[in-house]
Amino acid sequence: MTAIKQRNVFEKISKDKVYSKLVEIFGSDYVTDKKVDLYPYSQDMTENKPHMPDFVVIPENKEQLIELVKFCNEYSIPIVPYTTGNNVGGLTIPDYGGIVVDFGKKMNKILHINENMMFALLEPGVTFGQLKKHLDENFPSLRYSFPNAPPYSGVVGNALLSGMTNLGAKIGSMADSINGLEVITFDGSVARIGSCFYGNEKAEDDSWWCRYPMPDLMGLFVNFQGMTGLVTKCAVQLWPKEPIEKPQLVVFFGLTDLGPFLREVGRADIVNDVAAFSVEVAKMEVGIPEPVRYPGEPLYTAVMPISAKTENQMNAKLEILNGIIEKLNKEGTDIHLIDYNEFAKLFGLKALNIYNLPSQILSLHEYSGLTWFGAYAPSHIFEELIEKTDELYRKHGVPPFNYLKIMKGGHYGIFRPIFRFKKFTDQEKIFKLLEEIADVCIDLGCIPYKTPSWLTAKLRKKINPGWISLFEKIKHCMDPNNIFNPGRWNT
Amino acid sequence: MINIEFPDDLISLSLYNVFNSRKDDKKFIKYAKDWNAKIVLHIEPFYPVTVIFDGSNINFERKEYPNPDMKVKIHINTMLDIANDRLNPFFAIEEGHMEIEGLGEDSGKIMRFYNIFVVSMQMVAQEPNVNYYEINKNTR
Repeated sequence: MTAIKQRNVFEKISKDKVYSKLVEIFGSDYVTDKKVDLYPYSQDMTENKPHMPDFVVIPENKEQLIELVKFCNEYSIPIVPYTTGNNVGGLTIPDYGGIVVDFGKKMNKILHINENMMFALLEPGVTFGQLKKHLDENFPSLRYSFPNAPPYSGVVGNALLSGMTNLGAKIGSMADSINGLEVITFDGSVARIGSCFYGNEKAEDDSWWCRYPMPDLMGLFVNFQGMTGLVTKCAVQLWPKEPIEKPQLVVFFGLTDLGPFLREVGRADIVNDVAAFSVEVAKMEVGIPEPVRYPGEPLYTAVMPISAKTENQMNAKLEILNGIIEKLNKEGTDIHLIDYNEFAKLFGLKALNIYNLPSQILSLHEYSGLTWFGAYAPSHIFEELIEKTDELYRKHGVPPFNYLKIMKGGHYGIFRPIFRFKKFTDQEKIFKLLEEIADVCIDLGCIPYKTPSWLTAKLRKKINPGWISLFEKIKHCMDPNNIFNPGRWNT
Repeated sequence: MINIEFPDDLISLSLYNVFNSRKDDKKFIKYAKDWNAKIVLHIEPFYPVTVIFDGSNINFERKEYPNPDMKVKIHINTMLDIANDRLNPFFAIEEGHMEIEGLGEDSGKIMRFYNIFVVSMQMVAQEPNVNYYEINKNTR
């Protein structure tokens, strides 16, 4: 668990002077040091220890942030970027205090949609719900790739942290779909990365169309958890919305049936995504308060969005899918396919929340705590992961809340146990289980993402020294005074 | 008024949703109330559930009750075909896609079963307003 760090934020300048400077930059209405305002920014739903920021500021534009970064760099004051506070990794808890920059309130504009080259240029505070509404109303032929996250979660944060999407089986991680970034680096200079890199002051709105082929500086900011600069604009790829959708439900009666199915369906290039859950998650989703698995129930279920341009194309995809299931069942699995929309009407319409993204799964937020372990996983170990973690769940008396995906045409997978828990009563038990699951996954070669500090501490023991050394050099080069979200990845 | 137990297994929960949508429907009440019957419904590939009609109550048991009044075996996809009007239920019986034991010649029993199970599923499946996204779009 993250220990509370000590760092004298005001070693070089008094807190009063910092406050005055922040008011000068942002205006008194958009700066606060009142505990009642700071408190919500001090914690999230996870097990990660709270820590109060010293200030919260609400920026409106890049110029204010340039001034902030220069000032903070001069006086070594931490800056923690924040959009909506919905991450489940303690990633915006200001472990060293300092200034939380809340992008969600005013820097939340959809700046441009290019219908031809299919991208959206966004400020950091844009939410999934906002983007979906905007596209549905103004660009109905386009869609974004949404994660299993509430509509009030931030798009840019999730993209920068390699989040999941409901096009994952086709396009992979959300970070793969970033076209370009505008970032403020430690000295206050602004860099535009991607095809928007031509020009001086401002890029043309239509110039954010591609990430390559120049040296890929995007990597200096992707998955760095805000440790290398402040992102002020992000262009993300959009996708054509296909007219025919027939989501399918797959039920798996064997514990490890899911593994071969994910591998086969991933490479078949017929589904947009596979969101596979242990049955307890599916039951929780429709409102069963304490779901348990009964004999005869499937152990796993998977919801698969499938879309097509024509009925013929859809029928061909379903034929391939049925063929895969038939082949696997001949080899010993017990897998069945059901029309999801039809089943959901009978089963409970809340089940559609897993498919109609973004959506709020209310029962997931029923308790005071929510945490997870999310990892990119080599798909050949799915069976071992499921079996080993199932043993851990049973050992701790916790229902298995697993979530698996296949990504990018079957090239890799995702393994994501998620837990709701009662803070202060269940936390210790859940954290112990979480740690043991993390150990199993890391031992099997999984790579956690959106990692809290306790997890990066584990990772650092396993990663090759050359990588750690290079990582530290880059961090130091990009942020010599360690002002950008210090503490992440144990920096 | 019919009281329906809220179950916590997948199949009973589906039946709960189907029945609950008609719990204030006079026709449903007429057939369900005082039926006092135990109906085993085995939706394949899942497990058998016994639906117990007792006075004004409907309860569920996650097992095959011994000596039920009726026993129905049907595959989930056949059930969805019937619910969505792609397959006539009587044709499904005739063709062996839906196996029913205990139906006998009792036309009252046939009517009850048909109205409580088949018609309710068809109503839920075909109700155009039952769209969770649409009805909850302001609060989602």
